[in-house]
Amino acid sequence: MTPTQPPLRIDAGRCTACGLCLASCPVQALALPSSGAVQVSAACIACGACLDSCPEQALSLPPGPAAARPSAPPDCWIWGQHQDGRWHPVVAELIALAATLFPPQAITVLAAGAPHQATVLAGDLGGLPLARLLWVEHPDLHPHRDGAVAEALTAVLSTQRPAILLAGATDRGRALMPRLAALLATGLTADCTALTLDPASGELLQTRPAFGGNILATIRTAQARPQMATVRSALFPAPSPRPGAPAPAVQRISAASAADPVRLLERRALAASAGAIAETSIVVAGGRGLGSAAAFDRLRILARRLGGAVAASRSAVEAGWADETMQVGQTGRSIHPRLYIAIGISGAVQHLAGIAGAHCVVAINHDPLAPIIQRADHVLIGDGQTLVEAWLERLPEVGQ
Amino acid sequence: MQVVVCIKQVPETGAVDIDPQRLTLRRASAPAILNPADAWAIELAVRLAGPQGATAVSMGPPAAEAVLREAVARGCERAVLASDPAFAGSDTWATAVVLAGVLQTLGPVDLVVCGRMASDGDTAQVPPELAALLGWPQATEVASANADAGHLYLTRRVDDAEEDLDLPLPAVITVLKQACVPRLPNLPQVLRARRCPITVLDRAALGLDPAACGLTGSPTRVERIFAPPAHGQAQQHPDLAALDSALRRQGLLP
Repeated sequence: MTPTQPPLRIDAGRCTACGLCLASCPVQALALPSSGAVQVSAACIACGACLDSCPEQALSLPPGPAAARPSAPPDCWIWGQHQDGRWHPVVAELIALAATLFPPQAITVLAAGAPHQATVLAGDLGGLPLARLLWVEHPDLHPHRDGAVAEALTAVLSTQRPAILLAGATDRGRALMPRLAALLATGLTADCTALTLDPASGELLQTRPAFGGNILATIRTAQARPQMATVRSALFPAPSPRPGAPAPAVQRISAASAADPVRLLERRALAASAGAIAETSIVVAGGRGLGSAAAFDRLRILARRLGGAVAASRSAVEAGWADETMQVGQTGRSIHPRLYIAIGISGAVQHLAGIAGAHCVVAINHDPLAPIIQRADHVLIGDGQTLVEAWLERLPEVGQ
Repeated sequence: MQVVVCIKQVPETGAVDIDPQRLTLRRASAPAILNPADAWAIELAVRLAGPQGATAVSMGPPAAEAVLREAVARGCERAVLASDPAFAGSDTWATAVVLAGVLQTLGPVDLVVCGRMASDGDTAQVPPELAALLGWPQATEVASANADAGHLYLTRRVDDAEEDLDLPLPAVITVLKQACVPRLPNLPQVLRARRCPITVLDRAALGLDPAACGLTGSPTRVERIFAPPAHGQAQQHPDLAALDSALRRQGLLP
């Protein structure tokens, strides 16, 4: 293929010269000669609008970055992650983030699920700055059917190609979005901590940490659309939905199928502290300096009274005081709470890599030379176990 | 069972250099190691493969051969390296395209196992992209897995829950540390790894369009790489009351 040849491929053997595709082309790049198959001119922008207009499937675009170009006007779609009839908190956060870049009319939540769920979930978005909920529905489209959800969303996205598609960098978001990106042959930036628009081009500038937070990179998706990014949760304050406020318009699209070869055998909710450390705004973590399993148990109570989740250093996990799912650091979880309180944790470089995204770090440690002190915003020098007890005395009991 | 483990050579964390012209990471300047999470992927792949043996696959410069030899020392039977200057600067999509190309040269494969995340890019995107390009189902963050009669029965972590899944093969999975305990290479395996031939496949051998490879084929571009803003001086507090009230003043505690 020479560079000047348009990427649209026309199968002359299939084309019946019916002319249906001509009307679908937004740039009048298609023409019907007096005899023979449809022809495409250099005006073609490879938008793909004609592909579905052809009853003979004679039109195709090669896969790859050239397959899609910017749609206009720019719009921002947000993947609506939901489970058990409730939105994941990151959905409201992303709507608020999108509203800093786009007017509400340009903001759409795209979600897949059963038909009966749409009205209630739309109501839960009441008062938030968005125009519509685009609900891709099928009676059997359960959130855990990743493959079916990916197929159903791809079918919509490949025809509508919004300028931007955002999702929370949750486990499910980070499993689903790469699948969508590959099916759409577009770029995806993982785990962004900042999004802005390039004033010149209007393109999305996606900033993310890499190398365990040692560097930040700003990424641009040059040509392919949508520009896709997953965004960390709990980075942006979520606006509270206003009960009774008008819900966004619901636009329903039927999914062709909800078939998924994967079968869910069982689903178990984890104890809040185990799953939550990656998504909570306050995390209280304990390390070897606490000295005993009993002291670590007191730390759990402190975390609960402060309204946060419990995490542990590698040493505390290896000592058997805490579960492995609570481990923070390079071999554990990377977390990004607004407040990270490290008690009796010296802060090895591997541990610090796991909290690179923390907004504010409090170090409580007996050793003023511990590496965690260098990373901390607030420091209190003293014995961890004693200070946990002192803090508990200051805090009232709360219900379980 | 035919099992492939996809692994990556990464710079040791903390030793990173940036190519100022291309704005890509200059991996040659940092000591290169096997991506830490891949040790668990290799172990699970070797166990699930059984007597047929697992195949280790990587994309990278010729020096990435080292991590493939480490995979053989850790129990893999065969090793394949996709290497071509045209692959330089690949983003996750372009990487997945190359790995999917390698998979197609290997004959029927039942399962692809990957580490949870690479320690350099931290994206965890290549495995689901590979699964999508192959048209296979996937499961990420797998905490345990057993194969039986063309199915993988597994437990995966997803947000605040665990899910037990029946995954029909072929499929792609990524592995958590809970899934197994990686073996350490023993001397006979290290010696075998040293002699083991490594199949090297370039762009032409994989039949890939140059326009779909490397920097040219990558939908994303790195605009700018920069150091995070320097960290300011910590505020020292004389006692708990002072710390507690400082946090409340800043709205960090309710």
